[in-house]
Amino acid sequence: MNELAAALRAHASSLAADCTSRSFADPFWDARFGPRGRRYTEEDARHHLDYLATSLESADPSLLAHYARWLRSVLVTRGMCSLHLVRNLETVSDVVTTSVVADAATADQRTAIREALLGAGRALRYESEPAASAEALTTAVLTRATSWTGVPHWSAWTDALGSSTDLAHHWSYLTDAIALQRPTLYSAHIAWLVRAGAERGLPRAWPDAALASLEKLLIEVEAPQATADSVRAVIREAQVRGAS
Amino acid sequence: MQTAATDSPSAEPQKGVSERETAAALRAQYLAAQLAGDRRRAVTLAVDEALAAGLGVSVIASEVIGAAQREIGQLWQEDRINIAQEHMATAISQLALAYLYQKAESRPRLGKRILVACVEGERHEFPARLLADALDMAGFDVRFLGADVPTASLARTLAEMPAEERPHLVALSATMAFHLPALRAATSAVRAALGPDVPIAVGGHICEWTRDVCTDVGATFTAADAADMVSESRRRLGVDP
Repeated sequence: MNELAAALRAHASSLAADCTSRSFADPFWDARFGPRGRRYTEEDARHHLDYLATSLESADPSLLAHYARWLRSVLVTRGMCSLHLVRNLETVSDVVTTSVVADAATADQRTAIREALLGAGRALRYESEPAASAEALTTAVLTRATSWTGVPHWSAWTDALGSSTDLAHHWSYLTDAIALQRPTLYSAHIAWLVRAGAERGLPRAWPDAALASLEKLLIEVEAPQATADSVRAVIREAQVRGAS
Repeated sequence: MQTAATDSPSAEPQKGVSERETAAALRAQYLAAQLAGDRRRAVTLAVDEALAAGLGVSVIASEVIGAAQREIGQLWQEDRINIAQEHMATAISQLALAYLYQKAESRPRLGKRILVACVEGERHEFPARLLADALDMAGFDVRFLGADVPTASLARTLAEMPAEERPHLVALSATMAFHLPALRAATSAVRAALGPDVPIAVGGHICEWTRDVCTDVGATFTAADAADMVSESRRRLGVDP
């Protein structure tokens, strides 16, 4: 594993650049964070690779899990959601396991790389209530995604602003706001969406209708009362602050 | 004439208020002064007023200044303060520690030397600074090398030391877990220079994220905090408490 770790570090620049290019294929990143965000994304990718290398050297996957949890707390207070970090770690896994580094690795080593990174993503699942219950509804909510994507003008928004408009990421923003007891994290995201949409001449109807559809989703998935109350509190905050 | 501060309170804490409550109250005021950028007020609170309230030097270092720094780190993590504010607050705490050091009573020297350094690449020197000051105030002769000490330079420094100046114990600090390779290298360099019998301590946030860091890097022991490090150093170097 030491040779593998050394190879990861030796190729960190090109691997990080590749990870960044793949991430920025989603128009959300440029729209939200611009060139400065691209530099930070590449810097973060280098850190992911450094922690991956250290974790493999020590045969200690918990190291990446600790890092992911700490990084999540930094990123979700700066305009991202947990799902962004999960996808980010998956991207690193995809890039590394199809790179020259993986070419020289054994099958077991490639598996170790995937497991370390995807395991770090799984470590981001919330364990405390009410966030854990809200997060547990994700699958049920996503099966009803047509009530979200069917809202008029959704496709225009998603073409312009990428993943920021999809239900999975919205649900992640909501869950993060509940977990950190900071409803303003979600309403700040909605406020940014409204501004970004206005700058691009997008029809305002979508974000307002989307927030309303979340309320219907809570009923459709039969959310437990406490969970529904937590989600509603965050939505209300967004409707009052972010969408107006 | 003002007497030097010790770990033994020179005055009784306010009646009915525990030491913990006193420290917590001062920490809150100190934090506010830090975030306001009021250097003089911050240092006066953390040192003069804390000593006058009966807090000992080690309690001030850990429960007022050190604890406020942990809150500063948390505030940055939560994006409640920006990096410039974090740097300003840390600079104030460095000033406060220097003033506290000046006020602290010079304990009788124990005749034991300890070298403290942050490993190569590690720029978070505050925890190591707290440790160095605590060891110094406890009577050890401390050589503090500060942040980001290149491994080659550490090795050379130790190799070129006359025998009578060589440390009896070395403490290496690392905050970011990706400095584990640097910590391994530094530990190896110290072993090569000083031999197998000199205790090597590892401290810093890296210990919280790394399973069995001592075995991993070849160090002797870890310490939970500065107070733990002082008592463990006394024990391992055979110094009576």
